[in-house]
Amino acid sequence: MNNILTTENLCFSVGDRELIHKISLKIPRGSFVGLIGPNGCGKSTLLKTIYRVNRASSGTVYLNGKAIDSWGNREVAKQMAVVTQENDINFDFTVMEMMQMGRYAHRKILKNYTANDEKICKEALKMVGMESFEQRSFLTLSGGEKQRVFIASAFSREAELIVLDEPTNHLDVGYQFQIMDLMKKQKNITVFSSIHDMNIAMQYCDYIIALKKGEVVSVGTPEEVLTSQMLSDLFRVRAEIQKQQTGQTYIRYLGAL
Amino acid sequence: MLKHIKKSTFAIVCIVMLILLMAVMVLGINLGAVDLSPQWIFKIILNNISKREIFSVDWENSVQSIVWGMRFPKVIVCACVGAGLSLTGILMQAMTRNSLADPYILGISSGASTGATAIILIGGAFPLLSGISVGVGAFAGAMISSAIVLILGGASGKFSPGKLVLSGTAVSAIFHALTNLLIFLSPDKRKVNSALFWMEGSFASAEWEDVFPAVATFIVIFTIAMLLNKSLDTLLLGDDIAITVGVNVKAMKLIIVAASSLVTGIMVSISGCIGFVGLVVPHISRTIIGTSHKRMIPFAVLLGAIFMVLADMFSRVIVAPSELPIGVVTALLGAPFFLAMLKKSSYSFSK
Repeated sequence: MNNILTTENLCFSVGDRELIHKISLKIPRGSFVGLIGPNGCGKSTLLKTIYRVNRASSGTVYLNGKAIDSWGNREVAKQMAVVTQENDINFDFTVMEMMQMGRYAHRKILKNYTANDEKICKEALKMVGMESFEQRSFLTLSGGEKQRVFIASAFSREAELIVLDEPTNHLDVGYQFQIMDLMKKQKNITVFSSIHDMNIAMQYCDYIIALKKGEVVSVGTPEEVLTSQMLSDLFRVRAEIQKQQTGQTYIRYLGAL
Repeated sequence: MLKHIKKSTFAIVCIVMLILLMAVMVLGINLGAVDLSPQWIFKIILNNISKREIFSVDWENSVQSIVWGMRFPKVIVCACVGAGLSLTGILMQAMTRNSLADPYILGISSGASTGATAIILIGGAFPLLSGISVGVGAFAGAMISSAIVLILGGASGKFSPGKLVLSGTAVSAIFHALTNLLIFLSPDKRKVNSALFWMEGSFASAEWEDVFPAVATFIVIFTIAMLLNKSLDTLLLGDDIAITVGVNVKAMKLIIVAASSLVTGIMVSISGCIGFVGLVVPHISRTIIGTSHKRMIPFAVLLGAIFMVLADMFSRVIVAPSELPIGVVTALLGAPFFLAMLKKSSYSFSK
């Protein structure tokens, strides 16, 4: 079982409108896979259908080889940690309380969070450099700090697969790289993330999946997918792919088509 | 204020609140046309609970019947309704992620009062309905109105604060009108007076037979809420986060709708529509003790009980010797609070 997550002909529609159409993909265990595409192409819809906020209209998601619908939410949560996009929270919890909720699925039913849960949460906060914020009120944190708490919460779930829905949204460049570095550093973890910045996708991803109008248009390594032709198809932008002497490849945008 | 206190400190806070509650309950029993000494109240209650004469009887029989027969059950019911309505507010707020949700504002109390009135006024006319108690009618009314509000206010999948409160207002207006219509059409004017009481709320007629349903409902719902406190926490972060950390959100919402309709139905059938308690009490509790339900629920329940007993005393004092409907008191205190919350940007309608 080399693929931790696969989807088979996954569709999701609202009314008559099909937002994603027959998506079949494979996420190899241990890889870092990026999901790219223009606004409204169905990236978030696809991810939401995978993490079961959307109910697939047809098709199946397999997690560790088993149809995801045959599992309860708790079992899924233990195998797949998700950083969602919707983070509009009006109620004031402390950072530690927020972190503990990430351990919901590990907790025995109807029991409290244990000292072990707290220890794991503290370690995860340390990984993102937020250990001194434990008792702070979550609502007083900046956008970047909140996002780091969500990332820490994903780590604390000890899941093999981390799904990230636009993890670097609203973050400044420094945090974008910091968070991607953190993800890349984790051993034995598979990352599946939608990504806005093509240079970040180029630098961090092992594989890239490109979506357009709800369908997969290209799959492969960053070099295979991120060509000037594909970028102009997807984003209507003129771009040059430049290979540095260091071996790094990066994208230079020249302007709109 | 008391957000980061230790477990032991929180236990002390709860004990202090419990003592306060007992103190206001004794004051509530004491207050009335016949003057009693607090000493008697303690002795009568202890004697009756233990069913023995722990204390020798040095009071008249009439005092015994006033304390044990009338005022004690009333104050117990009053505390249970206060606690129950606060709990319903907490549950509905967790489900809708909206701190403005409250059974009264969402029209669920009005639905319950329509159900209760219908049974009282026209239940006798239909053999099928005559066996149904007022409580069941109120519960059915509460279920129907919450279903309507939740479908209207959450049709798009998310409960937008504006839509939810507006649907609540509309549903509340409809059921108020239905209740009025029932009263207007009723040929029996004696029953009209008793129906009027559902609309404004009162503990004037609370008696021993109300104690069991009030206490039992409260205990059941309190237990459910405490068992599910961790899931309630996650609901406040939104469905997406709750689902992905492993909560069965659909089941939770079903439990909440059923539980809050049950509490509202039973409480309204006992005391009529009492507004704003479910709004004010959870909000104050969150600011004092924090958002986490494990501590917030016990605190809010105690605070709600204290608040209701005090409000009831107030309603009896202010126009003595007659009694103001308690709904008037809680609305006068709660509505300005509601407006102040609306004014705060974090509850703005644009979101």
